[in-house]
Amino acid sequence: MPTKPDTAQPASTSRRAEPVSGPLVSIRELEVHYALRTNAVARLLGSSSGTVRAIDGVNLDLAQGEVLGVVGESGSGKSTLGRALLGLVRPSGGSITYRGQDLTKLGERQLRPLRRKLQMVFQDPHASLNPSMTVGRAISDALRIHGLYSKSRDKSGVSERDRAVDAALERVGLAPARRFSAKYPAELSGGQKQRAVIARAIALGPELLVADEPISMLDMSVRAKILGLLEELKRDLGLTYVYITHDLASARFFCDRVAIMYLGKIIEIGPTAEIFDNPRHPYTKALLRAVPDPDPSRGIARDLPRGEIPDASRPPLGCSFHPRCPSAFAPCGWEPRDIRMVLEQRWTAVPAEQYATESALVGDESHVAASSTSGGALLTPVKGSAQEELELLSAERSAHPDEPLWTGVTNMAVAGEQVQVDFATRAEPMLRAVTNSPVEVSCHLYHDAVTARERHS
Amino acid sequence: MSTPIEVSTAKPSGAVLDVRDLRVWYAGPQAPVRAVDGVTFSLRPGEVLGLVGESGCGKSTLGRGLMGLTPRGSAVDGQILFDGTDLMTLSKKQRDKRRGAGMGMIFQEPMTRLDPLMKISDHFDEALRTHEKSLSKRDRRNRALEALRSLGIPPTRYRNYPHEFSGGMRQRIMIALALALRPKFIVADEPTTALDVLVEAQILRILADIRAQYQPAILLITHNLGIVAEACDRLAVMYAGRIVEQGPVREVFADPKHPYTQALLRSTISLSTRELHSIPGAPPDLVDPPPGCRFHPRCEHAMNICADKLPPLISAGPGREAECWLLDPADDVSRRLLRREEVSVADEA
Repeated sequence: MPTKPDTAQPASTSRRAEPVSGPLVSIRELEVHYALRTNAVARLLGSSSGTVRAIDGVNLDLAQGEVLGVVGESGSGKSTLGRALLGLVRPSGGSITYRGQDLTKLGERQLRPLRRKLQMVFQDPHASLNPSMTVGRAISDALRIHGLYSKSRDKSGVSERDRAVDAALERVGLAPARRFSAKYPAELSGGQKQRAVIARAIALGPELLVADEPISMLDMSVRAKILGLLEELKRDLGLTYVYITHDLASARFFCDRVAIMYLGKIIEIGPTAEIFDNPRHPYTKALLRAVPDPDPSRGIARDLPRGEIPDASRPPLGCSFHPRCPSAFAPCGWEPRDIRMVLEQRWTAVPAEQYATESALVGDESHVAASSTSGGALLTPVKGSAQEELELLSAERSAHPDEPLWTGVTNMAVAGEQVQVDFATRAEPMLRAVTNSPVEVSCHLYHDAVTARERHS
Repeated sequence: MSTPIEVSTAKPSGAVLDVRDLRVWYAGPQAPVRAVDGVTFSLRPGEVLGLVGESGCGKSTLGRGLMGLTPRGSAVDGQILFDGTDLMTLSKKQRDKRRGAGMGMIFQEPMTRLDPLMKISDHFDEALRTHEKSLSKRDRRNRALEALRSLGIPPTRYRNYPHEFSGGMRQRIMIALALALRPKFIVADEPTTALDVLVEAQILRILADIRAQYQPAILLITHNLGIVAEACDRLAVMYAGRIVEQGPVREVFADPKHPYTQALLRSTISLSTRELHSIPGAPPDLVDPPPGCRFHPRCEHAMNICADKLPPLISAGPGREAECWLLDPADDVSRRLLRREEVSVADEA
C-alpha cells in the first residue's frame, strides 16, 4: 500500500491488517556474514581474517497473526535475524519476501514505505527514545517521516496528527494522553517508557512487530503488564509478532510457535507446546533444564552442557553444539580443538605437578593441529615423546570413557614424531521434520539414516 | 499464634553476620534518599540468604553498605556485627582490611570489575599480597590456581588478560578472586544477571559447590525468584528500603505472608505461568516514602491502620517474620479496609 503524504486516515488503532494468502513473511536461506578485518595492512590489501556468520542459512515462514518466538543465548543471531527482517542489516545472501516483495533487493528509498508496516520494539526503552524529545513529539515525528495524517489544525487548534498521537498513547495505557505526551523520557518509569516505544510503533499502523527482548530490562511486576499489553494489541490490531528473547518462560506463555537458535542457525522449531513439553534437540533440553524455576523443591540442575556459545568467527565443524553436547556421537563433527578442550578439562582436575608435566608435553594450541591428509588431528609433543603423548590420551580415554569425543575417535597411533588421531566421518545436521510430529529439528539423533548407520558401527 | 514482637534483641547464636537497624541514606537534591531504612537480619556460616526486590528497593545499596562501599555523600547508621566486631565502630583503614580477607563481594558485571591491563595472575597476586602478607610468591600462585581450578578455569589460562575470556569465565574468575581470600561472608550482587541461562545455571552450580566446600555465608542479591528458589536457604524480601518478610525459602514460597511477597511471587513469569498477574502502581519515592506501611498504596488488603502506622515485625512461624498488620488481628475501626481511589494503569513502574 503506497503512502500518500498528509492524507487523512482512520485512527491507527482501529486499522486491521489486510489478509494475505500464504505466509506474511517468507525467509529463505538467509545469511548475514560480517567480515572481520584485523589491521590496516590487511584492510588495504582487502584481505579479511575471517567472517562472523551471524545468520547462517535460516529458513522461516511467518503466518499472519501468529506470534513466533525466536529464542537463543547471546551470540545466537536472534537479534540479527530480527534486524534483517526489517532491513536494518543487509543480508549477505538469501531472501526475505514480504507481501511479494524481496526486502533484500530493495534500496533504502523503496524500503522506507514498507518500514511503516514492519516495526520494532527494542530491549532498552530508555535508549530507544530521544531524551530531548517529548513522548508526543517522538510519536508525531514518526508519523511526519512517513507522511501520515494531516498536520493542519482544525478550529480547536488540534491536528489529525495530534489526535493520532493521543490515540496511540491511550491505546497503550498512557492515559490521559495529554498528561503523557508532554513528558520527556526521563520523567517516565521503565514500564511507561516501554509503553511509549510501543505507542510509537503502533501509531504507524504496522502489520509485523519485531519485539527484541521487550521486557528483559523491566522489573518482574511490570513485565506481566507489558506482555499483557502486547497480547491485547495483537488481538485488537491483528498484528503478527516476532518475539526475540532469551527468556524461555515468557516465550512459552506468549508464543504460538518457537524457533530455538544456536550460533546463527535454527536448531529446532515447532508449536510452543510441543517444544516445551517434548524438547528434542539436546540444546533445547539443556535450556529448559537450566531455567531457574521458582519452585524450591526442584534443586539445581547438574547435568548441564559445558562451556559457552563458541566464537561465531570459528564455528565448530558439523553441528555447532557438538563440543558442549552431552549426547554428541560419532558423526557430529569432531575436530582437533575438541581434543585440546578435553585435555584442558582434565587439567582442572589433576594435581598441580601432573598438570605441569602434562601441559609441557602437549604444548599450546599450535601443537594440536589438523592433519592435512586424513582430516584427523596431528599432535606434536613439546617436552617428551609421541609415545608419552599417546599414553596421556589413552589414560584420559580410560578415565572418562563416557566423554562424547571418544565416540568420534576411530584410531589413535604414533606416527613418526607425532600422534595421529583419526575421526569418524562427519555429517552436517540439517533442519528436518521429525516423523509423526509438527517439529523440525537439526540433530543426527532424530534422523534415521545417519543415526542408524553410526549407531551400528 | 501471632503476638506482635519488636525486633528481637536475642542474638542468634553463631551468626557470622548480624545486622541491626541498618540505614543507608544518600544525599538527594532536596532531601536525603532513604535507600536502606532500618534493616535487621543475620546470617549463619554456610547459609545463603536471598535478598529480592524490584529495582530501586535498596537491595544493592544494602550489599554495598555492608561492605562499606557506599559512595561519598551517603550516611550509614546502625550496627553491623561481623564475627563479633561492630564494623561501624572501625576506622576506614581497619574496615578496608576486613574487606577482602573477611568479606568478599561478587558484582554483576565481571568485565567492569577486572582491570583490562592486568593479567589474571596479577589480579590474584595483588589481592593476595594486600590481604595475606605472609604468603610467599609460590604460595600465592598455588592458592590462585587452586581457586581457579575449583571453578573450572584451566590453569593454562592463568596468564591471560580479562578480554581473552568469555562472560561466564570472567564471572568465574571474579568468584575465584573472592574465594582465594577465603572470606567468611560474601555479598553476591546479581552475579548471574548479565549471563546466559546455561552459564547462569553453571554459576549457580558452582556457588552450591563452594558452599558445600568452604561454608561461607552468602548474601545473594537478585531480582530473580527462580534463583532464590534454587540457590538459597532463606529469603528476605525488600520493599522501599525495608525488609518486609524473611523466612526459609520453601516456607515463604509455599505460604507468603506479606501481601508484597504474595504479589511478587504471583507476578513472576515462569515456565508454568498460564495467566499474567502484576502489581498495581509503582514503588514509592524514597525521598518521601508513604507514611505507615510503605506498601499500603499498592496493597489490596490495606486497612486504615496501614496508612498510619508502620507495622512491627511480627513472627509468623519458626524463623519467619513479616512486617504487616494483617498478622496482628484486632477487631476495631483501624482494621477496616482502607478506602481510596483506583490506581491508574499508567502509574506503574
